[in-house]
Amino acid sequence: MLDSWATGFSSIASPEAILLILIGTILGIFFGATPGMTSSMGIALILPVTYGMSLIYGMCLILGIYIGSISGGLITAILFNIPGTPASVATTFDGYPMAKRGEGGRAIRIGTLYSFLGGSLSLIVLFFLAPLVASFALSFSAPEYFAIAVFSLILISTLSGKSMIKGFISALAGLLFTTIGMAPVDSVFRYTFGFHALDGGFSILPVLVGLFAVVEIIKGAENPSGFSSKALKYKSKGIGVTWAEFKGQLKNMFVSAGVGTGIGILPGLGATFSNLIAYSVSKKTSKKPETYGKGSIDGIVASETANNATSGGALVPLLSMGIPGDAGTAIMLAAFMLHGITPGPLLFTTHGDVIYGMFAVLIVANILMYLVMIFGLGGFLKLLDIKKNILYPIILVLACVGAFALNNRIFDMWAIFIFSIIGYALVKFKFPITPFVIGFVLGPLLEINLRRGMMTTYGSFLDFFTRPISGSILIFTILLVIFYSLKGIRDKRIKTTFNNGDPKEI
Amino acid sequence: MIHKYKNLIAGCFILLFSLVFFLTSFSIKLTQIDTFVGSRLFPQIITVLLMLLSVWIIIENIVKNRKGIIEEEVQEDENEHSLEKANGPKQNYFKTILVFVSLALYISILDSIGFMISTIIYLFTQMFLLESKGKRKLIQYLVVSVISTVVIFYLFTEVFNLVLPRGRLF
Repeated sequence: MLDSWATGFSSIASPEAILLILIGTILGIFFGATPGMTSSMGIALILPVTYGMSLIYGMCLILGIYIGSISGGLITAILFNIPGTPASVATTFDGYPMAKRGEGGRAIRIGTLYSFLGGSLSLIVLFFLAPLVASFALSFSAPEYFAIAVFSLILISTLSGKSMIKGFISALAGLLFTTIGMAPVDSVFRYTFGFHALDGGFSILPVLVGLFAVVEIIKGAENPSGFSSKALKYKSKGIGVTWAEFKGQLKNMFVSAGVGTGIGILPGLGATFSNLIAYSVSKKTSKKPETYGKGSIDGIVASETANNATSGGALVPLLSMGIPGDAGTAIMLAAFMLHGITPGPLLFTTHGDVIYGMFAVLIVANILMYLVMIFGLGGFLKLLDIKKNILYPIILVLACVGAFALNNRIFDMWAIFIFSIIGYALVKFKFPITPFVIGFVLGPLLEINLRRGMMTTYGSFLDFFTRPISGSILIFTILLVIFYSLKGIRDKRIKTTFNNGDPKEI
Repeated sequence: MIHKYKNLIAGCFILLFSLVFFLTSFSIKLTQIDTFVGSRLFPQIITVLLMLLSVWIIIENIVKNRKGIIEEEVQEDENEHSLEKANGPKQNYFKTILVFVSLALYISILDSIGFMISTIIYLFTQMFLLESKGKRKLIQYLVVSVISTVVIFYLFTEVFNLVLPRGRLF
């Protein structure tokens, strides 16, 4: 065991390898921070560059991007309220309020620290528990995925404090937009009205850019003084949390890491879910849920720990079964096969040195990610000095270009435009945006697994409840809904009696 | 005034929207006749739920207006957001429309004029729009627009080897 590790580390004990990891990490952070570009795009772009290299050097680059991009998203999420990648959506909830108070630097430090910790925790699971966990993941089939999707949808829709109904409407609207395009299973066209551009449906990127980036610009446009340009102090030092705060966050950290790793291990779910789910779980199990969304570090801890933990988790099915956990790992699979290696159960025995080399790369990449982000912090904060009316249009152009680069068609930019209008409407009429995003992301998952599940159970929905895992998740979800509805009614009654019978909405 | 009826308007709009989607769902082809879980199921469930919820919101709004509750809520809201209140609503909505229009125009001319020139024009326009009258620095915007467009262009085409819209000019 120990000598495998030694072999692993020795394979990257060269300046070229470390340099490649560094370059990969920096590139990854850049891709992560730019809205409109994602980690899988970065990995796809770098893949040809790795053709000529040995596998381990190629992995240095790829894994560097992989780890860097999940963390980079928090920079723009915190400073500009625009998530750099879907994995940092929940970071905007508490990160941006902190930035508005002048604590942006501290927020970034906290986010980076917990990204590092979350990644490390999931790497530990990867290193020591991979085969075990992988076989558990095998017992997840369509009904289980359906159950998880339903659970996540309900959980996140109830996040929005003020009006659960509006949250549900938002989520349903998001779901509805996913039905545009080809249906799963039988591929009939739905709601395309003859426009062939709509055949493929909308992808998450234009949706995010339109909902977040453009809406931010509009908010600035509607503010009478242009963008409020108050010079806020951003100085921060050290790690970002005191020892006391760190101890307070331990439970939050472990739970979020668990959620993130678990979701990563399930093929098909990625960091996009885990950060939102971890945030919801954290908020619901916290003793002071009302502080969430106003700049409490709990929110950032939950979101960033989970999304980095997902990257480690996603490598488990890749390395132990050859099944990619998310888009980035799918491209890694291609990289492996290019070099003549087929990931799978035998990988540990036939190419153990490769595996341990990768583990070594991951550890180094995680550390380098932390260092780069912290050293670059001054530079990131300088971005804030740029007047927003100059910076935001540039960010938007970058995002549009990224969206265009997805499929090389202008339609994706029109998609940004469409969703910016929707986002504007949602904000103006006070509907929460997050459930819309989660509905949009979960839509395909929900439908495909409902239909596949029904096919495997020969048309019996009841079987979804009798299967142990899906049944327990579904029943838990139903109990959750009942619990929260009753709680809502009870809270209303209490408020009513306190107001002397004057019926007032909470 | 509009504040009071916000939910009502939203509700009506969503009701209409989901009704349209519900009705069009019947033109989705069915590939199997005897199955419940076809391609129509999902859209239909969603649109039906949306219609029900939007009716709820509409009724809730009407009931609250009758009881005069809305006035209190609006007062609460305004107290919360007094710092963020817009100065002249008309003026700001005009700007908002301009922002949307400039984005739409940008996307429309991309293919014909090409990335470089369209982006320079767009960036300049957007920077101009987003700043209030007195503080605009036209030359700065022009320079920044040109430089950032060129940088982005070279970054994406040479470094990342991606394709950007090329028109007849650039």
